[in-house]
Amino acid sequence: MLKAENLSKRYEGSTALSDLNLEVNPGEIYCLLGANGAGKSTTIRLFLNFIQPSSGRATVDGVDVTKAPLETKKVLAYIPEQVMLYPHLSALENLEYFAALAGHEHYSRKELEAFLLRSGLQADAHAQRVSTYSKGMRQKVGIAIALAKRARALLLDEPTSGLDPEASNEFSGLLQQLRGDGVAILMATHDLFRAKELGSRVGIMRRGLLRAELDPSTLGHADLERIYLDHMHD
Amino acid sequence: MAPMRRILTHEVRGLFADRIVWISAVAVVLLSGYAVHVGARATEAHRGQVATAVAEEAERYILLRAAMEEVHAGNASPSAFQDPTRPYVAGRGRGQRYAVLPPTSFQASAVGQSDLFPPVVPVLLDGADPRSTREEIENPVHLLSGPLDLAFVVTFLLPLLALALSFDLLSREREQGTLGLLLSQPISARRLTLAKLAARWGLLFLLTAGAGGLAFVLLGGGLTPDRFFLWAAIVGGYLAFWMGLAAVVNVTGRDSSRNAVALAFLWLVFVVLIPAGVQITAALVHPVPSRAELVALEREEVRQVQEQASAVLAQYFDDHPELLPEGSVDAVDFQTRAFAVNQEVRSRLAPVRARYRERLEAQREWIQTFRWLSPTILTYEALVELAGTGDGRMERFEGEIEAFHAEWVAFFEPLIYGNRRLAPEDLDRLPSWRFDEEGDREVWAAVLPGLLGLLLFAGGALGSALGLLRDGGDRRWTP
Repeated sequence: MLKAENLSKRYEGSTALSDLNLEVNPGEIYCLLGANGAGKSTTIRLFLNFIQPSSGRATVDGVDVTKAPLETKKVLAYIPEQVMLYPHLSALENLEYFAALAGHEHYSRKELEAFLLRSGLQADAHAQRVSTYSKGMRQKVGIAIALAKRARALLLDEPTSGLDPEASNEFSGLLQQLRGDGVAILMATHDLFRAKELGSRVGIMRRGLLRAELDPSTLGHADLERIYLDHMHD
Repeated sequence: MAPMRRILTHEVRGLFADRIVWISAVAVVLLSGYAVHVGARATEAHRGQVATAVAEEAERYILLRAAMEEVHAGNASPSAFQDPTRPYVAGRGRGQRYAVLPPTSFQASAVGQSDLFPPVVPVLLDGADPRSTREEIENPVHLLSGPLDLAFVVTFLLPLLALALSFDLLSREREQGTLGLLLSQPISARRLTLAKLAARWGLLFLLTAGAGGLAFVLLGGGLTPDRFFLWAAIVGGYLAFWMGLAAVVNVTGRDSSRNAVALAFLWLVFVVLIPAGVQITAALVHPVPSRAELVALEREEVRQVQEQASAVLAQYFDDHPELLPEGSVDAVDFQTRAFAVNQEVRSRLAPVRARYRERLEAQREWIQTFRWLSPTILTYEALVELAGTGDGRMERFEGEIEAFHAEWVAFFEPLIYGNRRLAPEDLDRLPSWRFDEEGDREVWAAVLPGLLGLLLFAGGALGSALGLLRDGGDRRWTP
């Protein structure tokens, strides 16, 4: 579903991403680990066509994202590190707007509420202005927007950073549900614990290079941390 | 197209959630109302001046006719300088006509040149110079000292409101963090930008046109539909230019505060610096000789011609022997002599006056050429032409005064040289003033080039913004 082929991004004098090859299939969660500046966010931005690759290509469902970005964005949903919404609108109104932009103008209020409930946002918050929301609540609206979009691929950029353990756990549950629905998920994260718990595969990145690709089910938590640190310090 | 409409309504809602729209609305309504009030008052004063002159002239003619009848009946025998049957007396003072310029139906929209150009000009045998009360040319670009009329509100203040609504067109989305989520949706950046612009343009346009139209209906003496249509088109084009400019600046990817500074600078350039520059260079390149010089020259000519008055008269009667009265040239009375001197002075001064006018014309052409540098000049010129207070209609007035004066002199010339007397019924044959008003076609012709230029500017700004938003290549404004 998501595929990077020799994907590279160079800026003047520096390489942000170098010959990345990876593939995320429907029903998989691919976790990208790495320090800040390793190229995780660059990868996600390339898939979103926010920036252009220097060489190689990123495809979504076989379609090059630079050739038909509007096509690929119908399939993709994106949840940034900070889900920011229109502060003068309620969760419901924000959801309704983004769903309409995604081409789903037909949702009834009930359906929209169902997306928010499924994302874990309590019913009494639905009609409140999001300017009063915590980060966790906003992340839930972000999930609801992805659900309402009926996205088949999900790009997540450090979605759990700054969430308390309970919210983080709740979030993991949602991702597992989506995986169950056959969504392909690419998640950039610092959270080794979540990566181990959720990931179908884990990629370790450093300085724009994908250094290792692991199957976390074969590793313990300690193993993953050791391997990660090995790659960071060599 | 559904998302486009959806973005539009979303944007309008967002704007209304913001104080800026309410502040703009109040500002537009108050300013338009006050400006139209100012314009209507100026128009009323203008109308009053015209009415007073017309009434004074009518009354004077009644008295003149009565006086002439008295003389004819032999009941009165006034001195030569008072005798109303003498053409020199009738043509100079007692029978003098006024050339009057009636206000237009749309004059309340722009005071323009009307407060500098007297709407009532006495036409005498000696001359009819509408510029006699003007020190120097005041061109329409000289906005700063202008009154707070609707044209000023539109050209100066409306851009500030347009920029207040659109300076953070894209930068706000980036700063509040919504741009990423927005652009991850299947909607092109061009459409997003267009819809955002359309919402702001539509809002401010409806507000301005509505407030302007309402002010006209309530304070400005009603609406002239086709003029109002043109007015609205000019306002719409001007707004589109400023919002297009805001889009261009937003696409370069700076933060909101830097966008605001950049746009304030552009406002200064287009609204103040370029118009002032054009005006200053016009005066430098085509300096107009000072009025004092012209007056001094005129006095000198009068002195010289008076010294040669006999020669001047002899020359005239050489050319028109049929008018020679009994006796010799020396016997010609004072009034005939004075008239001849006057005509001679006028004809000698004609080249000087022509040069003076040529300079003014050259200045005007300079401004006409360089008005294409700033949409503000284009807008202001179009607005004053539309109101009938621009140079176009003023020049038409001047031309008609000149023609009328020539007709007036031509009527009296044979009477004076022939030493004839006027009968009361001759008053009905005197040339009378009628202003040949501009037709709709002339108004459109005066306004359309500027309007088209304005639309080109707006199209250029919008086109650049959309061009910079094209897909391919990294863009600085992306999340």
